Amino acid sequence: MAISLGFHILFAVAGMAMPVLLLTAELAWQRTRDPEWIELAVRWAKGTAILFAVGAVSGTVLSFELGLLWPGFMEHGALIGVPFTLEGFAFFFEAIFLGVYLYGRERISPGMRVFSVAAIAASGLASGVFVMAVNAFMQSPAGIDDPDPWIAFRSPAFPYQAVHMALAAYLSVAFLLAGIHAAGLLRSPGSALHRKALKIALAFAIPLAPLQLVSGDLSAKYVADDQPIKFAAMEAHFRTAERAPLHVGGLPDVEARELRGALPLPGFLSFLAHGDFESEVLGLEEFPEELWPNVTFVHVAFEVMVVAGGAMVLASLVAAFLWIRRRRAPENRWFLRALVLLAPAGLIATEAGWMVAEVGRQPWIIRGVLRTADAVTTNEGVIYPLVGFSLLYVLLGVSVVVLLRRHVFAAEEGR
Amino acid sequence: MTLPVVALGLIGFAIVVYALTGGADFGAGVWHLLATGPRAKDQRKAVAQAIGPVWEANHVWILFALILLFTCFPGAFVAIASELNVPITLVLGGIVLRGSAFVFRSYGMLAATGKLWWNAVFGLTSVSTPLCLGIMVGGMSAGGDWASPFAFAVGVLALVIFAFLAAVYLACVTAGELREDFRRRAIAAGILAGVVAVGVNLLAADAAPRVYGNLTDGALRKLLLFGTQALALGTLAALFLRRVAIARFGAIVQVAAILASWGLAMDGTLVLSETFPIEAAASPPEVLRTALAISAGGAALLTPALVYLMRVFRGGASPG
Repeated sequence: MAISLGFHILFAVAGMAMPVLLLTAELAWQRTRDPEWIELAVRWAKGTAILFAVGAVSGTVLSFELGLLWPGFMEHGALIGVPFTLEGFAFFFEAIFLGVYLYGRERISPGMRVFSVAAIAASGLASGVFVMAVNAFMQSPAGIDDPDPWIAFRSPAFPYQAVHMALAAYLSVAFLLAGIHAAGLLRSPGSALHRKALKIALAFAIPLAPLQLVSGDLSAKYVADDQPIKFAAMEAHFRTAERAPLHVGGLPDVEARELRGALPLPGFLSFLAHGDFESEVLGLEEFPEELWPNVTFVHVAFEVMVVAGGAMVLASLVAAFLWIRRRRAPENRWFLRALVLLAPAGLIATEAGWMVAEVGRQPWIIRGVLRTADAVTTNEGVIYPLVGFSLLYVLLGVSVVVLLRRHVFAAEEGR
Repeated sequence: MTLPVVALGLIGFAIVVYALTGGADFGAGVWHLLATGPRAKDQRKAVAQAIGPVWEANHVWILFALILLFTCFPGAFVAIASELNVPITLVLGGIVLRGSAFVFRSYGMLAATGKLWWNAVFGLTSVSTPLCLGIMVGGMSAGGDWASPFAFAVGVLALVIFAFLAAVYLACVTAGELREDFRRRAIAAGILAGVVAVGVNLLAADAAPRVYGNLTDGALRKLLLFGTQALALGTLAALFLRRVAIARFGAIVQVAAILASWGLAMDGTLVLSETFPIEAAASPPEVLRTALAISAGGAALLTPALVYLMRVFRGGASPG
């Protein structure tokens, strides 16, 4: 299931964010009537079609896997049913307008094109938010004793997770496209198409990266309060301390209850957790070890997310600086090369962040209510389909990358 | 009517619409695989144009049935998933491969061999997936036993019916010689469906006695069963007389009636190794009420969008 989810999340992210970029290109065309905006929209749309289709079918696998692999979890099916039902409708809406936009663009008016792509963007965002409600419920199931169908939306984790995930989707795709079109500009300098594409991508990346930093900080403060075990595992913080240090890097030695090879910044962890350098931060030692997640895994995943996110924040600040100084979108070759390197940064951060949230919740599947081990199927035969689906995803992933590569660069050589 | 019955009815409705739309998409894939004769290329093109814009929206109906099932009847969902896990896994693999193969081949970025390969994947999964869907239905009717000749026969019936539906639809959106191709295919599939249905009936008496007995129990069910048979003959006659629009109407009603007969014969109980009377298996009433309310609100939003989609693509899509 984790493999299916990890695969699906990449396509879901594209399905949420690509329509917003498409909408921008369509609106830019409405304003300027420059045909290159349309060409850009058509090329992005083809890529979106592939990503969306693979996302849709891999999502189906997920909903069946709930029953196949997690019979124990589905005993609480009624409680997560409402957000999933809403998600079903949002997805339906998205699929309808995607069909209209992708296949009907020559049959409908430009105004209808804008409406369809806006409908896709809105329902994509809604889908993401509904799914995060389910996840938030698993992290922090407030009021589980009172069976209210809207319970998932009342989880205190919901607003933090929904905002953090939505920003992650937009930011990941902005950096991915910035990297792709930076590569295009490096290959054929002066290409107006790539220049326009890069401009849109950076216009999204510049404000979103710092916003994500703020959302990440608020989420961390919330996790420190509500899920202290996860917070301590993220930071590999073993001993309760006032003026707790923030450790940069390092590998936890769980046996010795120590973090080795890390650079400590005194007081910063307290500040991060509670906004006060002197405050006390609970360490893992406060909790029975059987309730700890895999500390090494969670800590490393968290560091990966922070490094990838930090690199994106830095890149967006540099981009803003260059843009303001030159009064046009930056095209310095060294900066384009950096963007190419950063193309997967957002997706990596998304995957790592998701692992922090999910692995950090272990041993629970619904925190404090249901243990993962009690929810999982007892049918041992499931290993075969799991291996089969993993191989299938590898095949599809490789195919998608090959196709999109050809798509991005083929038109290039035709020009 | 009680809440669980309404919820079950809604799930049934989603399944019927899925069979009529998504099912026909599978059937179109079958004709894509079996395209023959001087117009084989045009046949393939007609199939790709017909399903391109709509298949993702059509696919949502099965998701819908699934979501409602696990929201409203979580225990039954788990039971179905665990007892039928083999055919379900094959259905899922088929859905994933088929959808991916379709977009990969549609966007003209493939080399010739790649296109050939993904075309083959698309065709084969268009056959295997309906087969496995039918096997699931057979399994659910026969105490969870899906590895039986009966369940396999139901699988073949589903495959042939979907191919029949698709051929009728395709005959309606094409013209000239191409329409004749699909009309002849529809007649062949319709006759084959009748033969397979007789076979399923013979096997059902032993394999699924409870459902078999229920099929003809009571006036309403009898009427539905005989009505379906009359409709099937009428639809075939319309095809012979080249009245494809009438045939399309007949085919839709007929397939809906077949599923309705089956649903009524299940008698509000899932026949797995453990039976699930729906009233007992349902979620708490407030959950059902909320799910139904969301469905009503969603339907109000979706209906105009769906109508718009169909209007835009009346007469087939431009090549994508």
